[in-house]
Amino acid sequence: MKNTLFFTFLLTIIAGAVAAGEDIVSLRSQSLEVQDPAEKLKNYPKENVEHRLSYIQQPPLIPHHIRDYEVDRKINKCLTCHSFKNYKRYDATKMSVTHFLNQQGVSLSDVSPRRYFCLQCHVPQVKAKPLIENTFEPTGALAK
Amino acid sequence: MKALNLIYGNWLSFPSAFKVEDVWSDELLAKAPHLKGKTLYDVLYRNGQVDAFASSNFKGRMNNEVDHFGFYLQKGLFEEYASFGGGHGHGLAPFDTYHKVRGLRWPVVNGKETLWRFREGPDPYVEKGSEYQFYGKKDKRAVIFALPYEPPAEAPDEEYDLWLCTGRVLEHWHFGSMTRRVPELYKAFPDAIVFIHPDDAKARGLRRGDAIKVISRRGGINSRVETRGRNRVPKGLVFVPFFDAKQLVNRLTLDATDPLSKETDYKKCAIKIIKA
Repeated sequence: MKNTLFFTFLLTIIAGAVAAGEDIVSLRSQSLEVQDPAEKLKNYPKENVEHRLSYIQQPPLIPHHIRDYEVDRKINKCLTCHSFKNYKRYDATKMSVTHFLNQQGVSLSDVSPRRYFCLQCHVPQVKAKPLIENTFEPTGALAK
Repeated sequence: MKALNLIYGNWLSFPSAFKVEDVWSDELLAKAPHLKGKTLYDVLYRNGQVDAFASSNFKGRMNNEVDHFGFYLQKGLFEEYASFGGGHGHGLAPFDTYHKVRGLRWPVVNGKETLWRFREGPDPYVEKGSEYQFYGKKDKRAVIFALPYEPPAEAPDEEYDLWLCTGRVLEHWHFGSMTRRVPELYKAFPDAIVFIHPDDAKARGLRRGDAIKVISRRGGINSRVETRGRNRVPKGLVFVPFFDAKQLVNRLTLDATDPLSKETDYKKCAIKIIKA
């Protein structure tokens, strides 16, 4: 009995998928034969404060454009404003203390090398409408 | 019915549906007559080795196998596996040690990790005075393959004058079918673009943001020029990420396979770029 039910269930899924195949709209939103002109490059606004955190551990998004910001072994443009030393002077966000912990959880006196390259986690956002509506809502401390 | 329950319950109990006689030949069974009448489950897990550790050894929060079988299955399996490699250059630390440390460099000999393998001093298996010893082989020397140079299946020429390389961007996993639906990730890297050296762009009369056609002998895609940003490509090469379903980079790539490694050759082919 259970067997029969299981296979009926499976068949229903397969049949449903085949039937739906023709109506499925992918993110491509165009048929394979057609190629629309490419999307225009989207701009990074000079200031962009609409973004809030979606979850507590999320690396905050960069609310400004970062054109020509140099971040390499010798220079870190981000830290000229976001470092502990300078953030007050520039009214910038202070970088998190977690960035001073090394792999073993030991607190260092300066930024840990593994947290030094800011853009690995923090990114600016272009001005664009999301491709698809996203119904994700933050919970807990970030709930609306 | 019973089989179905087993599958839903736990794949590990699947062997309990078979007796040794069902699976082994008489000849094989004659070599181990004490296994007669036992199930494969008994042979594999209820053998005094895998079920050696009582459930009370497990100190974590949740473990379906411990609940289901009544012994610490994972520890038993690990210790059985570790016993195969001990004493001859493949040793491991005890199971519980790996829950405490961040990682140990293999092999672990007498509780100590090997910081530099095949090197006299850090590796206890290397004989004194030999400096380096690749003791895996009888003559204790490394095996190095010298393989012939394999020329690319297609290289840039007069007409198709640029290399195309394709790959990923940090934000998008494979074809972006999930990541492009996340607003933060989409807005961090919305569409595929052609990363090109500023000089190459200039030589073709192209500026950042221009609409272009990327064409190979097999097909073409529409894209946009990017001369800035995260990727600084060398002259003569362009990079186009493949996550964007509207810019199917595989229209351009080559249907070639490396004859030695059998890897598909998607990473390099010849293309040209014209203004759209």
